[in-house]
Amino acid sequence: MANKFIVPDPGVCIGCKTCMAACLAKHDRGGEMAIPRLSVTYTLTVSAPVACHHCMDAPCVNACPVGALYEDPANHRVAIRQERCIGCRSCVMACPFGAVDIVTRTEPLVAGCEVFGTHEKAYVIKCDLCVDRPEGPACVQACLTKSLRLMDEDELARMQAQKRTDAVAGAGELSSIAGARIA
Amino acid sequence: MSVSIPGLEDAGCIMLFGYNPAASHPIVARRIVRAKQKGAKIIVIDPRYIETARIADIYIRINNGSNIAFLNAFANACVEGGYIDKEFIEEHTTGFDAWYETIKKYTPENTQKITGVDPATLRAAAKMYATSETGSVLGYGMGVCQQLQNVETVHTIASLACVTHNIGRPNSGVAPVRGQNNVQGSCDMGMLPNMYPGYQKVTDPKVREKFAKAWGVPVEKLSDHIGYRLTDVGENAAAGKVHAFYNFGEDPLQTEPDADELKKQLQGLDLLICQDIFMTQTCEIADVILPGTSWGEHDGVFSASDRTFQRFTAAVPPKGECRHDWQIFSEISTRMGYPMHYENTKEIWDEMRSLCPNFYGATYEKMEGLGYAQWPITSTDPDDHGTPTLFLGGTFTTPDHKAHLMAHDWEHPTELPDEDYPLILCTVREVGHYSCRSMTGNCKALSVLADEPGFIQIHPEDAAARGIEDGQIVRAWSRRGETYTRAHLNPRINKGTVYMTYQWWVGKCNRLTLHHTDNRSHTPEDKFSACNVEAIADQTWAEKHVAKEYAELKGRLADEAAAQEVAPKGEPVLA
Ligand code: SF4
Ligand code: SF4
Ligand code: SF4
Repeated sequence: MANKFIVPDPGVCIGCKTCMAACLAKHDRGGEMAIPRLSVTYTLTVSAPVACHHCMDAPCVNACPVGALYEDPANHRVAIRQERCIGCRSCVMACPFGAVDIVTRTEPLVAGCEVFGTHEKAYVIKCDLCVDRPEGPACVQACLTKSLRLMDEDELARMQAQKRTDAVAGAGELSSIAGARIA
Repeated sequence: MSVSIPGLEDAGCIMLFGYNPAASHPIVARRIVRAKQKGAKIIVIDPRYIETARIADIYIRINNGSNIAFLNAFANACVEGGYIDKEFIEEHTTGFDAWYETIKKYTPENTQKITGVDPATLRAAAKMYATSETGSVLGYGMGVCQQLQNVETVHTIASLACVTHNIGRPNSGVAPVRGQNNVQGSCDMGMLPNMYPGYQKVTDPKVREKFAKAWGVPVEKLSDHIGYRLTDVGENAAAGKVHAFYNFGEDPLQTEPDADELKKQLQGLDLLICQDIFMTQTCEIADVILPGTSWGEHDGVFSASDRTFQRFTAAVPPKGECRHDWQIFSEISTRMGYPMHYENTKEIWDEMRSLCPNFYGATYEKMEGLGYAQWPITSTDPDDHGTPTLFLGGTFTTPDHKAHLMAHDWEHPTELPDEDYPLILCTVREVGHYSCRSMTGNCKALSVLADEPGFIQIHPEDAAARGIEDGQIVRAWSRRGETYTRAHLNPRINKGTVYMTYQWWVGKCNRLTLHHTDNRSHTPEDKFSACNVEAIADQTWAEKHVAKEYAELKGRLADEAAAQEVAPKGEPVLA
């Protein structure tokens, strides 16, 4: 099975960032960073959030020297092992969507039950598809214009089929048989 | 508004004029998206290419401060194109000839220099708005109300809706939105210097008699003249006409124009009382602070912009010494010699209903759960939820039941840009934070998404001319004051104008804005003043400077608030 990912419909997106607030709130708990995993991005004519595409041959996974990012086929996503991240930002440079970020925070340096001081711990900030959330992606549920959806293989196949139907509809005009004009 | 917000989805055409719903009311923006999905035509007229412009059939970039010139030309194009409804005008309006005397002077061509609008596009928009089969709604916001000619523009919009018969029938009308949650409710409940609840005039002796009787006081005790407006309090304090100011649920030092001057004026008062839920900058200079409760801690009724009453109930009990606003008012009234006592908000509401015929049918029972009541609502029949559309059939609330057409000549805004202050400053909303930010600033998620020193939106070309890069701290100043804020280079806005949101404490645009109010609504001209912006070479210094200012301000407010940690002396405050 192929990976899933979040896609916006920029036509109905109103740029309200509710999806970002929902993503942040979902991740606002121990061991995680309260930072949105998707960024609403504005150009002159488009407003839409950008999130990780969970690439099937992911540049970030290929670029990560320590395996902090990895393919997680069971959950149809590219997943994170936070404990391995060394904050080298190879993924940030490799990702063609600007969908991954590295953020650090000061944490105690612990060995056994002893604290030896503090260090800067790096975190990968990237969409995790909210796989541990029973209701599914928080952003999709929060979007008030229903701009967001979780794209999976079936949905992609439906989209492709529709596009083929649309494409062939006009092709009737190109018929070489006179009078065989198809409405 | 004359229409209902859910009804927007069924309009044939929605024209937005000086209103950016995606930033001010995302819920309304969602309705407009749905209307578009159902086939409505959308027209957006705004100096900025706002979110809704992206789905508009016609977008018109209008020059700041040219509203009346544009609308007059628009009305002219409707007459010239034959899109007006002569029968409706004849039967349901008065004053057409005088109205047209003014309108005919403004053509799409001769106003182009003022408005910056291409005549052909203006005509196409006029046709689209005026000829929609299903009916058109004209939505407007602070882009109309916070201008020098605000009341005039409202007259012009209403007249336009009348002559094209886009009022008085279903799915059409005018949709003025309110700036904040429950502003409509404040007006409905008579929080105006000229009205009792239910829009009953303080100058009307019959009205005074009715209220005096209900409240058991001699009629002479009720004021028979119009009081001062909030926007005039500062000047009146400075002039010695106002000595005490009881301010509740407002932070004027954040939200009112020329805030530095206002602070001096309020500091000269004999008594300043603030009733709030957080330590705001106005609370900081108050003599007395009365701790109220937040929306999550009390019961009540909100009115939406479309006249819909909705009940809400407390989620959690109040903490510490906090009391509901109505309890505080009752206590103060009792101590001032007029015993006032209510058990709950329903008692207050029922008393209010009994005195306001237009609200009489809005019972608590109807508003149970997700229920609602939309005024005018006179019947208590449980199935009657009120009036979604006003003036159906062309019957208006004037003495002769007709609409009185009004037109006005255009005047330029008060403070025009010049050599020293070449940029227009216009205040707007951003998504995320709300009003003076005393509430949303305390919300972690929203602060992560946007925080101090806020933003100034500037066109990339205006920024390039000043050597300003996106995200840099800049200095902005006007004849009134200066502020430091972050540049947001935005290609969607027009050149020559910068946009700031009044919610930021450090990047406070109201240190710059002009305090100029019109003499009818007394609303400040927040949408137009002159300023300048410059780059700061040493960004490290600038970042440190704003961080320090923010920390100092928060520290000062926290110190002020710490006074409440001390146990109150003597008798408990409330009986
Ligand atoms: S972070 Fe970027 S490269 Fe990696 S899977 Fe997501 S979109 Fe692909
Ligand atoms: S799916 Fe979850 S993690 Fe991914 S962007 Fe949406 S809310 Fe954030
Ligand atoms: S919540 Fe939906 S409409 Fe709002 S910014 Fe996100 S995708 Fe766009």
